[in-house]
Amino acid sequence: MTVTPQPPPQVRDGEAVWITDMGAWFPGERVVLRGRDLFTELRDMSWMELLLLGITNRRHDPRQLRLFNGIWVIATSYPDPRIWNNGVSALAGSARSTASLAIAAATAVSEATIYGHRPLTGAMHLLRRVATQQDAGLALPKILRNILREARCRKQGHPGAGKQRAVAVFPGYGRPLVRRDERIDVLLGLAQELGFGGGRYLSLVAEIEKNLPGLGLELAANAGIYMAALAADQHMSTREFCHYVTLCFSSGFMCCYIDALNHDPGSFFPIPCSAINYVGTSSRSYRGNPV
Amino acid sequence: MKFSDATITTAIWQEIPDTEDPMQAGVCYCAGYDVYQDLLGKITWIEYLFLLFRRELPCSRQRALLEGLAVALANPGPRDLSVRAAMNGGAGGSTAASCLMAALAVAAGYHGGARDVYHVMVAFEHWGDNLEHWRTFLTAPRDDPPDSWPEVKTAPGFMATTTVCPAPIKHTLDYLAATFGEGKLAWLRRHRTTLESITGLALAQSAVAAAALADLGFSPDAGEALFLLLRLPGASAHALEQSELGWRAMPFHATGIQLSNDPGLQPRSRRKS
Repeated sequence: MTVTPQPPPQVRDGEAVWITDMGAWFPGERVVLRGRDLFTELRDMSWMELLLLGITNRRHDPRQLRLFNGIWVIATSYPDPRIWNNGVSALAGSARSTASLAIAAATAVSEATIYGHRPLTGAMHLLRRVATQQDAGLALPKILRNILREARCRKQGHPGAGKQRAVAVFPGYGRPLVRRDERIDVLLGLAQELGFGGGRYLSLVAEIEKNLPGLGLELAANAGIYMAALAADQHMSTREFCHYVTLCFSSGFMCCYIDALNHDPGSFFPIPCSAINYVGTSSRSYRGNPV
Repeated sequence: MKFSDATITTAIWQEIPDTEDPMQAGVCYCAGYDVYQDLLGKITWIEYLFLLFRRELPCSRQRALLEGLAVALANPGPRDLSVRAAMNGGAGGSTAASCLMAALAVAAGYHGGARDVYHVMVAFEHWGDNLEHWRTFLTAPRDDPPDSWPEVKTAPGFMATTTVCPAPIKHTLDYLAATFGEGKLAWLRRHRTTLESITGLALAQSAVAAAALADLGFSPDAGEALFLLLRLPGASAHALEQSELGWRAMPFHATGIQLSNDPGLQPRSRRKS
């Protein structure tokens, strides 16, 4: 299949006016979001409800809002500065930078390959892809085998190290540091309590996990795939899910930043010179001309 | 390679502790060179940049190419999306770091940004100078694995919004290709119009940068990072200027929004459920 070149859009058309149905501020008067007046129709919303309306253009019922809020509370905001993205926030605090810079940088860093936004998005995509192929009549072991074969043909980079690192072939399965994921039981408990324990995508998580050893992959499901499944069962698209998780770690960032502020400057796991394990070229002299 | 939980492993940097304080460095080596007692005063910024990323000094051809590329990328100008982002920070009186972060966030994108550089460099690794392979690649639908990057349809290395290759891009390509000699830049220069006719789009500066960075021997990962780094000076300068000029000097497009679903002014007393 080839793509026929299309004439590019005329950027100039957008110079004078930005046409949108997302929203706008009418200075001194009112604000509109997704066609609704913020000060009359939306003013009693929780922040999560407002965020989800902006992302999805859909209203969510109270059970769904408890679920989406609960996912953030349970699974995403640990106040531990050793975790890579939290560490950025802690380092900013330790260096006496600002909270905004800390949280913004840590949020950006959360688009990681071994954890965070990218594998979460990949997890949702995996579930949807598998479900679509099941609907087309393919058996799960064959679907998973095809996914693995495609990734190997693409010579996809390794998630954990190396050049051109890429998200795992089966995102949401396996976990850095530990195998057991302490969040899963709590997430499933919340889902059961809210009546969301029997969704198709949630069931699919365990089915995939059972089939992975057949491919030689001993990978346990992690909380990320459960987060994706619970969201997919609420009809959230992959892109919507990616946007929903973008800010999910921010509470933990703030804790880590404040914690570092409460310690002495520069005291966050200080590293002595001797802790640098140099593996490069041995000492040599510059032979160029002086500048 | 085995790692210890208590050490940082690096082939770039070595420190000999100060004799009185083990937490302070007495001597610092970059790829084997004593930075403060040997390189300082002898090496140029561009040579040092190359040394940090490649762990070896550039030859004269590499130095001239990186120097030229750095000048070409340093300031895309105040209409550029990433520079505008930095200027937005400046206009509002934001911190210097946030202006740089704003520029980085925007310059990172697929649309003429660092992600585009990365994909063009990967394509150079795959297709080399085989024009037929490039033709197949550029006319196939994009198949980027889904993650947090948005989906794009435009072929990497081409401008989504014009068929006219701007003169600065052509000048940059001409100069850099002539500076370096045979390589990916020269190939790109030879085949620019053919590639543009394949895609129906103009070659982007990101493609020129990608070819240059590949000629310099950088990996796609390093090329993506260097492209971002080299574009920061202009963004920062414009942000500082805009900060001094103040928010009134920055276009706000006061009448520029047109809502397609405006509910109109709602009575405040009539609350909807």
